[in-house]
Amino acid sequence: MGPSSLTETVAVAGLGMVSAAGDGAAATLLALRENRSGLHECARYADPSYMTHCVGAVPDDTWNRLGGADAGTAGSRTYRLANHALAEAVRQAGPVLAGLDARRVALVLSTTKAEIGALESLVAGSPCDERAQRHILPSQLAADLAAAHHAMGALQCVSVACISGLVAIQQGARLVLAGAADAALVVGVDVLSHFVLAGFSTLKSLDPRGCRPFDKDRQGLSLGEGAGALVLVRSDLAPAPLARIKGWGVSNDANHLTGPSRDGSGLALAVERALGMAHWRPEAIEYVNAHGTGTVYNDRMEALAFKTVFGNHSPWVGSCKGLLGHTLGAAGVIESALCILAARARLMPGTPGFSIPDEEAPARIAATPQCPLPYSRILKTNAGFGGTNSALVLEVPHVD
Amino acid sequence: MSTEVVALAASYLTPEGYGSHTLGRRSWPTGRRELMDIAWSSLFPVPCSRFGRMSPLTRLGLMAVELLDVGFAEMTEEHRTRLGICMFSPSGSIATDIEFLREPGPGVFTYTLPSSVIGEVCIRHRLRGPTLCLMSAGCEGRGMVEEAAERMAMGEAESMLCLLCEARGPEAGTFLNYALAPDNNFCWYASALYLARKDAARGQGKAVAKGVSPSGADIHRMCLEMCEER
Amino acid sequence: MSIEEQIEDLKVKIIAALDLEDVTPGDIDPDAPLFQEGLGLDSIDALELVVMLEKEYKISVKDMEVTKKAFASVRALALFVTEHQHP
Repeated sequence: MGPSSLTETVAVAGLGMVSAAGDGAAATLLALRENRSGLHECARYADPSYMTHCVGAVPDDTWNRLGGADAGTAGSRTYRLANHALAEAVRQAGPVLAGLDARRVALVLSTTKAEIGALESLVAGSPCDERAQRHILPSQLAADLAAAHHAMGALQCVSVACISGLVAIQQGARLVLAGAADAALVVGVDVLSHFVLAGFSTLKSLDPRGCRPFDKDRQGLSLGEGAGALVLVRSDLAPAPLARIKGWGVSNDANHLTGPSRDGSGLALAVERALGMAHWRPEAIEYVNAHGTGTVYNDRMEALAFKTVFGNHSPWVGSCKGLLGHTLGAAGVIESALCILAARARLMPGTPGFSIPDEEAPARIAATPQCPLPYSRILKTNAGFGGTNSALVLEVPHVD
Repeated sequence: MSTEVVALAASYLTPEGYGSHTLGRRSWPTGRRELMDIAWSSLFPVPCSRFGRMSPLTRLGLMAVELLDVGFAEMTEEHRTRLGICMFSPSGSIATDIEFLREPGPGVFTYTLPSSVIGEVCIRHRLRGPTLCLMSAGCEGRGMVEEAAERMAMGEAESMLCLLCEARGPEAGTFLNYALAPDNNFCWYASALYLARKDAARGQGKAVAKGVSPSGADIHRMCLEMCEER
Repeated sequence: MSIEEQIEDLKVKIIAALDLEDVTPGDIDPDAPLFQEGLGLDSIDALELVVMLEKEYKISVKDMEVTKKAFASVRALALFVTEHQHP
């Protein structure tokens, strides 16, 4: 028996984001139009033991407005970023949310390391802000965000490595579909930290020049930071939604803890599950926003998975990691929000960092921005440690 | 959307003992035990080559699943591809995070995610179904069984492993504010349940009440009951 | 230190670095492949060995391509260490 299709869909009524691309939807759209790279050397992470300090950092002027970027003195940086992105999304969804009972509004948080900077301070014996210390545990970060945004319904913290963001969107959609909530605030956040730079350096998986997804000379990923937010609501509450969640899929490679499967069958399985739920044939997909981290193995694995699913009729495939860096637990939410934003502007994003295709790269790489290009059916994929894969299928109604 | 589910197998591990629906409840031979002192070979005949290199949380989760003894090896590939996992952990990989901050290394880093438990379980038993890992504070009001039941009702999975795992280690308490933590009795414990749809279980298994709290207390109690009833 | 001594020294350090339970230096054939069949090590273990080389021998490995040859066997690794230890 295959997965049943969604008889109802869930509507996206608001979105928000803050990342290396800038503060908010408008700044992000501008960065997409310019096909800008968001990756730069960041002095805060200049440590000779790291492979590189070329990262996708939230710009200094944004950090300054949000209370500072220094993990030791800025308090809970994850809270600030997540709260900021959520505020933007909630503002946009204001008219829809206004009439709802707060007890019927859920919050789903996705993060991999939450306020890890606070744990760094504590282990080093340095002083630590009390609120930052609270937010080492994602559940406490989620509780504070929910209180700030009057979400008194169900509360969940998703932690499934780099697919956390896509799983959080699915969890939000489930809560709405199951009738457990009328709306779900989905927020993903992760910040740059010495912890992750040291970790990915020991794995030798960072590209000192900045990531180059699907490029033949790619050498690794670039780390990023940011927050993304989506407001999901029951479809009858939003007659003119920004987008609709049509289906999702999750799978496991059952192969290796950090290395992606060599044949891409795990990701292909997740994509097929998502398409099955949406009741869409593969050729319905017009744009794939891939995980596209820029590591040799991830990009090859994804190309194989897309070949399995789409055969010789590849849709446009691109990656935004050259703009955002890899924002880990936030990636799925930021990248989904970015897809919706771009499709509504009839802009198909490019793939910053990409120049010469790898011989195994997908057939149609969206290398540079294409505009105006109307499209509405989007596949978003992510994959991560532990052999996890996830896919999300979105429909963005054409805007007249 | 939901469906009636039954538990086909249950297991648990705590510092005081371990058990399963087939073994019953057992005490550790030498009284209370520390997690990292428990060798794989003391409980299981089939070797696990990487066990000594795994994090505390991963060891615990893998042992709880092994104790379930549900015969993954005899399952068809189709069955294993449609077997999902739903895991809850209040503190996740905190003990390993602290270890990594003290001494960074690639092996330790790979275990600084709670979902590494799911990864190792999937590798060992070749499971490819949908997976979920939540770090719960115990006050969410939506339980593990509901998550599992919904995946089965929607046809995303045919059966589900539910895993509650906590291995926060002795140090975490001094670094974390555990005001919201539900269970301060043990700093490590695990409970596992193997669930299937009632209509697919051919009369086997124990009916499971919906709305089981994710705090762990109810799941743990249920596992103990099933181990007791043997 | 002779190559044979270097080999014995490396065996002890590999076992410690990788927490190889139930493996003694005598179990390791210096000419057997370290990865896949031999000791059954994987890519994370290779990275652990890189850390071990940095810590124990102050040898910095920048490019993982180098390890393909150096990690072929314990003997190959002993030669690599001898070659790079005193530049």
